[in-house]
Amino acid sequence: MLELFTDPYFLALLGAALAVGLAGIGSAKGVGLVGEATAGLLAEDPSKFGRALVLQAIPGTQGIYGLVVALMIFFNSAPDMTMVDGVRYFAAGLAIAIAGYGSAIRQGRVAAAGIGLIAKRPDMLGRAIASAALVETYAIFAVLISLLIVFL
Amino acid sequence: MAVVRMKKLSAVVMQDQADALISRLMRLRCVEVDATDLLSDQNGAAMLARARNEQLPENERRAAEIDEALALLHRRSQRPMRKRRRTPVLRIDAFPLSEEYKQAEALFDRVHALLQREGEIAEEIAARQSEIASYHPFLSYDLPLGFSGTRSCRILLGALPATVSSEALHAQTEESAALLYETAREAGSCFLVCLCHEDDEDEMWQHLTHLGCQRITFPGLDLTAEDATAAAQKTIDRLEKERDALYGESVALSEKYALLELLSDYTHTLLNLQRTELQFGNTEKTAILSAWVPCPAEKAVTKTLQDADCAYEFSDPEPEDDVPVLLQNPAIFRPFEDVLGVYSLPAYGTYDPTRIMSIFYFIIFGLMLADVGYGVMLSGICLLAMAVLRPKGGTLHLLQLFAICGISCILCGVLFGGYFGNAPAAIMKNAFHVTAINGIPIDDWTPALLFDPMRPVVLFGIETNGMLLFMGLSLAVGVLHLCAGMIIHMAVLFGQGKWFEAIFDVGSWLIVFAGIAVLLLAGTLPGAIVLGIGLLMIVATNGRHARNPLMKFLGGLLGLYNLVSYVSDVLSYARILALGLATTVIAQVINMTAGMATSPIGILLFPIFFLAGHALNLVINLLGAYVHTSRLQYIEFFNKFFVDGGRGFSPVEVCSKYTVPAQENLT
Repeated sequence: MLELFTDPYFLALLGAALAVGLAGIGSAKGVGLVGEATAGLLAEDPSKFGRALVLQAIPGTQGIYGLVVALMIFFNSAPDMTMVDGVRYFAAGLAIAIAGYGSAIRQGRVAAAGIGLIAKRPDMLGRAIASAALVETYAIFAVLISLLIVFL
Repeated sequence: MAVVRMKKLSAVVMQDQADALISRLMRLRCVEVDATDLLSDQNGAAMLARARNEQLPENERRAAEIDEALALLHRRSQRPMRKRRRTPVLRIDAFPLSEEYKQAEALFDRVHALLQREGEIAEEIAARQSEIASYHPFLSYDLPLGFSGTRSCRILLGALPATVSSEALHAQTEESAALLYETAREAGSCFLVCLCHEDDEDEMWQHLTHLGCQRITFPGLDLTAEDATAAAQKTIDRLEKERDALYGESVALSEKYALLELLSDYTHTLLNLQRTELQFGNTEKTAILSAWVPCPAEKAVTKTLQDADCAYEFSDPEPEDDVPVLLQNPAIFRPFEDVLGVYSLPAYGTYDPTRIMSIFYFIIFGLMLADVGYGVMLSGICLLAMAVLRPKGGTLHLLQLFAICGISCILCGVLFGGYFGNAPAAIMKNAFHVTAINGIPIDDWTPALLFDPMRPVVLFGIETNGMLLFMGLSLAVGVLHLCAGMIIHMAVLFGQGKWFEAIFDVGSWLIVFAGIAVLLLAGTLPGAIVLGIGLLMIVATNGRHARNPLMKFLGGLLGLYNLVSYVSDVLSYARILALGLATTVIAQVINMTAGMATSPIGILLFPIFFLAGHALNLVINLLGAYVHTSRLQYIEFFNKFFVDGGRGFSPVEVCSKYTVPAQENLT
């Protein structure tokens, strides 16, 4: 079992799996949180669906970043790769996996609070989006480093 | 490029002229009535309190009913909204006298009656259906349901919980009951009919209540369950027939919904007028108006006031006034005003950054979605939607914004070689088995005019990585963006006469940035000199508010700490690269997957997969580009100079939800 971890190809694929898996869980939780808040809002005012949808989509990006990194690792890996490459790709996957997981959940909570905000003041949508976008910065930095590790 | 200057208008008009004046001002669309001034003194408040309109609640109810009727016609209309002819024109003065108005009124009355009758029918049907449900358990009982017994015999109907078994029931009631039988067991209850002697009634009923029996009565119903059901069903059939007829009639009427649209806008305009009246101060013979007028409209408003025989006066706003904010920019920048409005309007009398923001918005959006294919799709879809749906207001501005930004995507796509990702190379390679173009292997070939972020680049003879170069470009755009913000801040400070702050708090940092740029591009010594001057200016002046010389020096050093926030601001622009890469990489994956199919069926499916995949990618990354381009403006750029908190200018106007107001000659 342990010798698996000395296989560079396995390490690279593990990195890809973590990237898409963990960032995906984070996004699912984040989008879910906002979805629950949205349902409450729509019961009161169905006409706000469009605005709510924008907020709900925001925590979904981490999952996409995870997918992008995982695909890049996957397409650049081969069974005969070197150990250095294997470890590099593993690290690349880890970066977006960790930051994506945490930031998507936190971003979901900010966006869910934003749903509460637009329920009372629909004109505040822009600020709600800006608040949520602040959280995403760290996922963006992580995906940047992940991609730089893969490509450089 | 500016926040429009406002004038405060005070006017006095004769009571009987007030309506006519408001109606004229509404058509000008450039007067915001604001009673704050009146409220601020006691006389004014008392005069304001005299304003009332008894018709207002009645008109509000009527407007709501008209909208309800119109909503019904829109729902029933067979003609899709988008196929409608051009937007109707509403003439506020002429409309109530026209033949159309009479028709619209008649149509509204009919539709309103129809709506009410539909509501009654729905209620009636529901009531009949619940009756039928209550007869159902007694279908096997052949006496009239309301029959309570003969002179010495009593009939009881009831329902027991279904948990009581028939045996238990019989055991309990055997002694007193003359006759007891179950008619049905359904819906968790056991229904029964009990026939007993008059003298036994009380005892019998006690037994049954003990078992949890609820008595059921049908007072005065001289029909058996079967007959009553049939009668109710007959009524339902009749009502349904009537409902269908009404539905057909409403579908026929829905052809004329444009009439109700006119009526709706007219009624809402009337409401606007009456609500505006409430903002007037009133004496016995006169009405007093206090309002905001944008300077450019002063002439037109003056003319209207003169025509209405008003006494009026324009004055400049006082510093403590809450002046509304109206932005004035050329039409091309109008959609970007909404981007600004989503954050906040600038406070009155401050700088309106719409134009500079628009230029950076255009550039950054394009860099984040640098793809010719996506740009064409985006602009095309937005232009199509504008032509077909003919939206108004916010939706129109958003479509215009994306249509403009789509052009930026096309330009950036040409520069950086994005055509649905790497579609040209992928198609040439897979479909036509091209291996090289002009001697360059197909895998290294790129249609980029400048460079391709996904491939190695040769720059000034040095081979470097396209991705790093693009990152440098992103950060450079960021530095320019921030510098623009700081220069605006400097200009604003100069305008306020705060030249010291302008030069030493903002200018010094610009010199530091210039120093770093010179250091990177021209060499060590000149760069170090410029950088040194900038740093020295910061250290020398930032502690100026402290008294103690040592604290002055420490405060100056602490000023350098701001460098951290500038660095983090600049690094934030790395997201341009990250989002651009996300777009490109997903596009490449779509091309690769679409190209995998080699069987004949797979090749037929290729265009579908290709288009659907790229449309999905566009939607995902459009959201990202929109949100993050806006964020770079809101957080990084506005942070440098913007004063928020402006209240939007909302003039009294003719309601134009469904119609366009007629261009009338106001003289």
